[in-house]
Amino acid sequence: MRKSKTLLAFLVTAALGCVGVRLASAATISIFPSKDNTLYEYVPADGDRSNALGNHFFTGENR
Amino acid sequence: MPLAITSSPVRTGEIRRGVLAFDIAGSIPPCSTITAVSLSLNMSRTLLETARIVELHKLLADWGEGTSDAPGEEGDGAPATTNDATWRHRFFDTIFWAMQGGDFSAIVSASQSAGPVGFYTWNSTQMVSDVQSWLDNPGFNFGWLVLGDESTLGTAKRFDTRESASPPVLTFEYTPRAMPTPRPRPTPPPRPTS
Repeated sequence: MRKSKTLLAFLVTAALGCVGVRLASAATISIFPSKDNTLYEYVPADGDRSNALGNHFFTGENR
Repeated sequence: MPLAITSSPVRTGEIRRGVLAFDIAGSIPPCSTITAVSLSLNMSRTLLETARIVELHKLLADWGEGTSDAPGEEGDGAPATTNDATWRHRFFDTIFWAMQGGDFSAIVSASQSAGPVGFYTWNSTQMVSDVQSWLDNPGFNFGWLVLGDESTLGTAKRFDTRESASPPVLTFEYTPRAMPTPRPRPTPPPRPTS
């Protein structure tokens, strides 16, 4: 008898725990890049170019 | 019959592509749901004010930043240093891209028309999907390649980096995973006293 009461209490508690959830609210965040760089088209005469620490990156075709 | 004199077009331009990545998993709780994403870039210099399409494509392999620092207007870059991403390398000078110019998805994550100098914003449902995937699988977060108009000469656009006073900003909305409320512990039955 005592065993069945304990089991019942456990089941009721577990059910309440599954039903009860804290409502999650939407949030907004703004972040900066963790890294950025430019891929400069390879020209043998110039060698491999990069710009890890520069203030700018580039897109498109120059000249 | 006179020979037709033809000349093949001589391209003297050189292509540039930007790459940038954001630490998503380190910024918000795991298992969150991303609902909106936008990327703001400051375009600070352009050869011509003609509007050009600039696309974001998800990168498919990791890449690095060394210590290269281009002089002047930075358009010609600087000699690559150890672990720099270059046209040929993911990490200079030991690990190469599978494709020169970067390994990136053919899917356009977002596109924007950029003309005169100013701030431009990219947003799309594909960007939401990209950021969600980077949150769920941080090991595959290699960021976006920024692809400009490479169809003709003089399309270059210069954007500001994280080292500048007007860095790229990724803004996103998310909903954290709902947390279960603490469960009350069942009261143990009283012990019979002897």
